[in-house]
Amino acid sequence: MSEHDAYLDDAAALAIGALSPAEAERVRSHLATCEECRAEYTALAPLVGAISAPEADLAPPSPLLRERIMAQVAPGAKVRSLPRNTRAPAWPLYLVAAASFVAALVSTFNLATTRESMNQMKTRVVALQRRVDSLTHSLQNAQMAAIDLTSADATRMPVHHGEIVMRHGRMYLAMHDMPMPPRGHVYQAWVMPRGGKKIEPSATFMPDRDGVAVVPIAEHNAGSMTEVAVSVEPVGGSKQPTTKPMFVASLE
Amino acid sequence: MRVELRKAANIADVSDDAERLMERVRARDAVAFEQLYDEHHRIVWSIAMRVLGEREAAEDVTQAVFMKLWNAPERFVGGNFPGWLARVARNRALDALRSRSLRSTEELPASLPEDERLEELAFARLDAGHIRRALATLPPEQRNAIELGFFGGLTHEAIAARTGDPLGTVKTRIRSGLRKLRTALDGKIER
Repeated sequence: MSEHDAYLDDAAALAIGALSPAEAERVRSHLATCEECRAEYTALAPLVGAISAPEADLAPPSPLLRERIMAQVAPGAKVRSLPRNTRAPAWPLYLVAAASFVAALVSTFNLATTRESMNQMKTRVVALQRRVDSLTHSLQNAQMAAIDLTSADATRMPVHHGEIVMRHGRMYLAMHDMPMPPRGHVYQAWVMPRGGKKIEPSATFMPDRDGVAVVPIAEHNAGSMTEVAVSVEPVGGSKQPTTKPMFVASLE
Repeated sequence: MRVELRKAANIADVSDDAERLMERVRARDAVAFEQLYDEHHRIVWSIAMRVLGEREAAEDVTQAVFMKLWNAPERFVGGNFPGWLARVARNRALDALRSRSLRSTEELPASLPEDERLEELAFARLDAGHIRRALATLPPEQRNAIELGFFGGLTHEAIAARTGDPLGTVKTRIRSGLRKLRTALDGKIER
């Protein structure tokens, strides 16, 4: 094998990171002067993405990992400007997820008629309690949502794939069995202010992998709204609905 | 409620490929970041698990990779996103091996460059099943050499020492395997 052929092999090893730092430096110096070896490296380097294709039976990471990451990202995230009276509480996504979990739990409770499912529920309650214990003071918002969503005195209005829940001026969409929107799209809520002539944009949201979403719509002024709707919109939301709403609910 | 619907033609064309999503991440768009995570976290998770072999450490690496992506999105200079993400994940996983003193710096190979634009290949859009089937066509000794180098964090000399094969044979197997893989994947792309 010629010295040049050896460099071609080394270019492949460099592509997958199988050279020592000194060797990598030596080969990179060669690539800077040899077009053929550089072309070999260029052709093979992107294959690290293919080599890394996940095994079919690889168990996924914990869903809590996603929550942890998004909890760090959300506080610095771009928040779409909404009218003041329709602005959704800027909760960290993990708190919304916690509220979703409670909503799913309540839904499960209604269906739980066997001892086995009760035991499963207890396990989930214990898991939820552990998570609740670890949250900071901002958890109060999520706890409030959990109370509102499970309270017997909350006003509930069935809608397609869920219900609108109102209590003490607060309002939520509690959705379940929602299909994922098409790629590049999200769900968006809309509200009609009392006396208004034009609907106004509210929060955008995505269901979790179980099709559950809990979306805060109003912090204290639910009574000032007369209608709520949800439609599928491009990521980032729209100023006016661009698709037929999946439901339009009158609050009066 | 009377809803005035705008025609679809008026909707801004929202491209959701990784490069467009990264542009939006640079603009601090958390929704785009979330979509990137959902579509690509498995590649990071897969590398971290295969390098480190335990879930807790692999989750730490996955979190570190995505927080780096969020905090320094300019490090992605365009091109093949899965390839770039694989490099970043592999580097962080090797860092974890170093920090846990499981392997000395001298034993570990050089980090893969993270500021290099990788060729955007059509097969980057193939699903994982296609790619796994292409990988399965490689002779076991070639695939083993590639995997020991990439996931095992071994230099080709260390691979030779471990397998008992001559160094030249190991080098040739890595290159032949990669070329065969590229040919197999290119053959699956409709031209």
